[in-house]
Amino acid sequence: MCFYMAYFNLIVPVLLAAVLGITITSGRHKDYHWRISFWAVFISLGLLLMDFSEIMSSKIITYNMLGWNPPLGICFAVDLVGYLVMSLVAVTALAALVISRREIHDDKKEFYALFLLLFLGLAGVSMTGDIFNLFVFFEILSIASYALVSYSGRMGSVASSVRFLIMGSFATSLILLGIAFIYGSLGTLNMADISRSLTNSSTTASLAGLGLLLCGFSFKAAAAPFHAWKPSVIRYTPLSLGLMFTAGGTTIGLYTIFRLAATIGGFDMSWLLISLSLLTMVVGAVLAFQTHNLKKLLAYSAISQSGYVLFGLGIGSYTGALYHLVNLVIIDMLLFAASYIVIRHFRSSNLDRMGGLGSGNPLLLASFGVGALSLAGLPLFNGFSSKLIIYIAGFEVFPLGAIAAMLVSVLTLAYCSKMMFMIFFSNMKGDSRISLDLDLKLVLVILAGLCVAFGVFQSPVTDVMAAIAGSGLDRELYIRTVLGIGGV
Amino acid sequence: MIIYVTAIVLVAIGTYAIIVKENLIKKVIGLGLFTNGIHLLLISIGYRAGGIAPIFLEGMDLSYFSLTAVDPLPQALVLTSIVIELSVIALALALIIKYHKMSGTLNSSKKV
Repeated sequence: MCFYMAYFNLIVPVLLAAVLGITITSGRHKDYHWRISFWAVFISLGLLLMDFSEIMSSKIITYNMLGWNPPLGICFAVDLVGYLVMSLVAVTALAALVISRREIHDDKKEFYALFLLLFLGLAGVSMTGDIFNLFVFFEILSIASYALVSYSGRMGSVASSVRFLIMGSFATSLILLGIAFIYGSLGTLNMADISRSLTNSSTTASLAGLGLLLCGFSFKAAAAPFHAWKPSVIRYTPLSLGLMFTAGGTTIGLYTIFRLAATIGGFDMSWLLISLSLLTMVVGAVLAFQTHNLKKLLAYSAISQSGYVLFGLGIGSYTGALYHLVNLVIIDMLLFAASYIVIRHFRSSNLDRMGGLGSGNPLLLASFGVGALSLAGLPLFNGFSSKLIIYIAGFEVFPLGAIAAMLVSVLTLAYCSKMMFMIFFSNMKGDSRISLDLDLKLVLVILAGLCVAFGVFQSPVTDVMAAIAGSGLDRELYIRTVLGIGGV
Repeated sequence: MIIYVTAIVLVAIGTYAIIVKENLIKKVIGLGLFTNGIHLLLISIGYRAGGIAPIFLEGMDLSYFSLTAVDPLPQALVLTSIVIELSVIALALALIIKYHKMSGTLNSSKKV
């Protein structure tokens, strides 16, 4: 029973979000709100670590709400993949909070209450074992993000928030429609029970339901052709929030697709995922190449890179997909933190107005460079190690796709060099030193170090990821543990 | 049968309004129709002609109960979903009011 995790990870953020919501009008300083959110995320991460030994020994830990056993009751079920994703989300939230401390203006205190709700939604999706509960958590995180996108109150952010809301609610409604089909045909909402029923009989209605779920999840993961909301949303939001949407939101979207493909199953969606992934990779990279806005470039590149994870899922290289997912989160955190410093310096996210940071900022240059090279997948950096696994697996299943993925990698290198050149080496005139605070320096050094470490120590990391992916793929174990059958 | 047709028609009109219409209010109306169509579908899944409330009273025959009681779960789902839908639409309208105040238009495709 994962008491700590299932219970407190949801209760701590929601209670503290309520506290923050109530105290918005009380005239407290923004730092008070920041500290409370920081502690909420920190406690969640701590609770996660307290369950570490249990999850290592039992692989899956479940918690049945109010003691009702599944499939009747709602249950939380966290396996190693869910645990990994949950930790990634918590770490991302910590990094986003570190950036947000300077980025958010003093009179925008409501940011933190909504931020905690967003975190709660992301955490809930990665823990739940019930598809309707998943829908509810998706709605929580979506509503929090619609409000967060519009929070700055400027024209662009309100306009993009309205569009995001309409598209996003349509996508979550598709998930609900999928749930209706699945419940109508199988009579259950529990993921393990759905999986068990699907192995016995799958009807057209249940397949339609699964297809609708895939559409909704792809929207959340911002996979092409459902990616259009993301760049405009990220362009008009603070970078700390953009980080939550890319590293947090995309990770959660990809995780749900993993759950759909690996745990629920029901039909062979590998070709669907492969075509989705190739489209995502190419569209993201091409659009990233032609944009002149740093924030949009980061958004497009995150879209393009999530295509690799989908490709890994499609060809069945779950190890490579998970490895790349972890790398993506690290790279995103690094690039968003570094971009925050750059954008703060130039007071603009337009790449044409940037330049000349190459001299006098060795730490910034080095960390940005490490992030860009990792993204492009050069050897010795983490992006290379995970992409290599995906390429090798891809050549066995679908060589043409693997070649396309390599070509996209070349395109990635092109837009990364463009970005590096425009920020650091164009318009060189004199010294433009940026003074960095200790915590930002620390974040940059740690993340850049992780990028290199995950690239250099490839084989031990691969072993860990393979073990996690292996347990995530063990459908029998999941069903037996969640439904409590077979003496477990 | 008629209930399924109604649900499908509602979903279709909603999808049409969300995708084709440019007026933001019409898009939100479409969103409402779309979700309500899904709610109708969910409710009709649990519906049973001549069914009784799913409350087991004293002295009731178990087989009679299991054959005639309606499925309570879809109703719980729909109730949850209605509340979510309400808050989404409220937020959408609030944002649209703000959008209209700032841009003077309700057209979603106009460049701002």
